[in-house]
Amino acid sequence: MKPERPYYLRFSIFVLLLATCFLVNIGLGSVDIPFGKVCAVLSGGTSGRPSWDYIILHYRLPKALTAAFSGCGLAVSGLMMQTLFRNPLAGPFVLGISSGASLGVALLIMGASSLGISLFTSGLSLAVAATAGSFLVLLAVMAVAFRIKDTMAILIIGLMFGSITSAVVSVLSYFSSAEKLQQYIFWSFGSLGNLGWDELIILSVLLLTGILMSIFCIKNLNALLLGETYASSLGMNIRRNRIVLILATSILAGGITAFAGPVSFIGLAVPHLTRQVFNTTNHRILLPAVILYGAILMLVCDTIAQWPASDDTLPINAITSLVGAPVVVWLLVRKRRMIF
Amino acid sequence: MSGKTPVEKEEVLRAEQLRIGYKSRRKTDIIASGISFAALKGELTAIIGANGMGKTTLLRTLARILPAISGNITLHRKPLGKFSASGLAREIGLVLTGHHPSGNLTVNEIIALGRHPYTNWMGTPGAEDRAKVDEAKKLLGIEPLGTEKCYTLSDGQLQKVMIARVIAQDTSVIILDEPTTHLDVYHKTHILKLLRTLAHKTGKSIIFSSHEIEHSIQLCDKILVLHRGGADFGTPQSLVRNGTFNRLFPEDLITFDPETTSFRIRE
Repeated sequence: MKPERPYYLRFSIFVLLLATCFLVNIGLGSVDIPFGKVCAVLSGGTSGRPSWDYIILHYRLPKALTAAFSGCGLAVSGLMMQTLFRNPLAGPFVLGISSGASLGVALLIMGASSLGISLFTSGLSLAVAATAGSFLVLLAVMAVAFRIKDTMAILIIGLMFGSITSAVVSVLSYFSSAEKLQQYIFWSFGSLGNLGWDELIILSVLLLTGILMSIFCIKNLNALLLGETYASSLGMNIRRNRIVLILATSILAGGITAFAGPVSFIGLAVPHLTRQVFNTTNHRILLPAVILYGAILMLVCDTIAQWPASDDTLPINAITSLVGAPVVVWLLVRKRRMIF
Repeated sequence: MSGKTPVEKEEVLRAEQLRIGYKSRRKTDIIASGISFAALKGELTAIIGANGMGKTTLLRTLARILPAISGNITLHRKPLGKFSASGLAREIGLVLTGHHPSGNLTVNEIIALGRHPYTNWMGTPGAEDRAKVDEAKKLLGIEPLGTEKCYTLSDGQLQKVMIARVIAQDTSVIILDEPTTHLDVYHKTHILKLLRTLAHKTGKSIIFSSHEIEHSIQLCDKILVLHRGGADFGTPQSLVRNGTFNRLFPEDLITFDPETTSFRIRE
């Protein structure tokens, strides 16, 4: 048996692509700034116009970083959930984390107003509500995960929590005013542009924690490819590993949903797209690969969302599916087989 | 008579007055009880019994996936419960039925996963691990399959790969749950002969459950028979002499013929 293939070429291409996408993402926007000036500002210089400096440093750069971070985080949590549940349809939100966040935000925007309380709904209070909501759902899922033997049951329970919360959201929407409803729907579109540097620091700490946890799970994730019984016969502690994976996913997906809204599709699709490129199920290769691929795809989606040279930004949550879903379908039809 | 006294073989796994089943908060379901046997170094042991007699439950209990209801299991004369999870992973290896690994793994990757109890925290196989993988492939004669994806393999090949994986795990006990299901009579014989050769050659203690009574009588060193009255353990010859196989099934349809060591349909 030869040593593992390191896939140097593919990783170098991915890194180059990521750098390109990042620069293009910052270079494009509603205000036309020459590319040379953008690079000058990014490398610590100045573009000569304070307004351009401001746009790049306080709007475009945080937005691009948010896009890259959320792409990484969602892709990693999608990969972990697909392996844990041995199910190609699993994604970061199978545990009901985004439903929990939606419920928190819906309660803040619509619930409070229907009770006659008017709350100040800033970006930060939305983030707090989303975090609280997903944390509640997380606690419920963890309580179940400790008690239940069968991992698959957690999948069903996550779906059930999702149904319950979306039902509550429907009831709330029915009773709330058009204005509040619109506010809620706008949140559910997702937005990458609302983060300042302070929020970005919180997000990056969450991302780092989640990814570190997932790195420590690489060996166990590989063992899980044989199934849970084999994994435990290889000395793995099934329940502890399950808890760590769920916790890491919650930190990643919950944090991203809190700050950027529910971004669908990336977490489900990126692991599949990556397996098509790298043709392996080894998590030592897949984990860094999905991190790069997730960031690239999210930056591309965000570039498209802001591209049509207008002042409006299209909802990122719609763009991810519009761009990503056909790509996945095309790849599967072309390769005729899903690698999982 | 050679005059030599046979060397006492080293005992690896022993069960005493074992009672197995499933325990929940409300009730206890006992599947089988009174099981006593010893698996020795370098011996092939078959576990035989009708459907529902507890073969799989016994194997799961021996592998510590299930707790025993009562009785003792010792591994190298030390209680099974005293082993740590990673320590046990170096002593007992498993091959299960119907648990197919993720189809995109290559044969090399599956076998290398057997090295998990020995690899670093990232699970990267080192030079020694790769040598063990090659050795296991050679023992099973599947060297050419190394880079094949496992969804392209036949049932017989996949079974060999799973056995190679457990060989690479380098344990003193190997437990296989019905390793010959889905295989034709030729490949059944092939796998069972292979297990016997492996046990005798590598000195591992190999325990498997099976419905292949006639094969087991011919190939195994010891047989454990689970029946409604309890369990009998011994060499195939002694079990045939004692008429154990007659007690295995209700006698309205088939009877065991000790002359040919096979089952006959009643006219």
